[in-house]
Amino acid sequence: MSEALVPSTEGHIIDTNLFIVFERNDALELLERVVTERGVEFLIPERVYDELTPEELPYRTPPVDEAIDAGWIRVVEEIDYADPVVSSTMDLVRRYIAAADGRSEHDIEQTDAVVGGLTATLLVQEQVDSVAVYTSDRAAFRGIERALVEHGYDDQVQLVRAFDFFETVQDRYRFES
Amino acid sequence: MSQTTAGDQHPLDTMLAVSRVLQNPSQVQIYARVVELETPTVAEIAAEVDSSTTTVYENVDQLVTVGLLEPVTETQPHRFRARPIELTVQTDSEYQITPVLLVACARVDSNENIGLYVDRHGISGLATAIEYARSYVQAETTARLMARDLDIPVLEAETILQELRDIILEFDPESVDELDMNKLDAVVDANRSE
Repeated sequence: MSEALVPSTEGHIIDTNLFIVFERNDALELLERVVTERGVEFLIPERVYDELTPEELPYRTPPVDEAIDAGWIRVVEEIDYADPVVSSTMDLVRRYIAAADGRSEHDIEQTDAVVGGLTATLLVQEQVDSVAVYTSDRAAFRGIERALVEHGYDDQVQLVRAFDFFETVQDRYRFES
Repeated sequence: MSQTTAGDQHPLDTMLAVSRVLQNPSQVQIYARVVELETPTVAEIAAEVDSSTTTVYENVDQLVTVGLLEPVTETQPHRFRARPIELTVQTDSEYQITPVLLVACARVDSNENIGLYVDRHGISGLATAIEYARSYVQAETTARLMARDLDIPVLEAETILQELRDIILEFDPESVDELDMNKLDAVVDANRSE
């Protein structure tokens, strides 16, 4: 029985690291194919868009604009920071990032928790009732998951580990021309 | 072939040898290839690098003399393996040199991302990035934290971390510990109750 490559959640949020693993392996077309074949649209917070399109790097910028123009990635600008579920999710994400690296929470910024903020925003605003988060940042995801469970959003978020996802996609499509 | 250096090598000799190799693209490439191929012959090494077989022989000989490679067979065809490098450099801080650094240096020309990173930050910058990459592989740190610490773009940090992750997983997988989520939960809960 072949497992679904992509979770059947309504929402799909990707982190910077997911885009980069495909991009540096020249596999973005493959990623596009995977999502468009399944009618999936990847959402990114504006912060992730900014990270993927820095002004000052001397070499190539990942083609995230092309992906947006082609319609398989969409930037979501609004994160509802004022909502208590969103803010406590981001707070817990920051705590997890700090704990994983043995740092003080004061070293961790709001922007480090932006993927969590977007996840919580989508659920709280009922834009979707389930979200898959694609990232290699396991600590951050643990913060997202626990915060949302504490606020009653059980089983509505799912982690897709970025590097595992890349390997699985490659394996699945390896024998297709 | 020259004799190997027998017994324990003086740390200063190891430092000088490693320092010379790090700054010699042909030699660092050969060392890295031996690490990758495990116990290759000279011919097998030469098939994978940009030098002639004669040059490879000379470089292998040199690397054996300085104690970075050792022969594993007495009969032809001679096979070689990399001797483990256990070199820690300490001034007011400490850095441990490992084969990961040498393999990464060997890929400066063949890997665009590594090459650009070294252009911008030097070999010591690469060494620093490897320290972050070891944490990154264990899901302890992130590109955002590294980027802020070093004042570099997140994209640059994420890219080099992923390149180095590949090398660490291939050449030093035993060093990688899986993140203990239960322990992390406990740390966070303890902090929350303060």
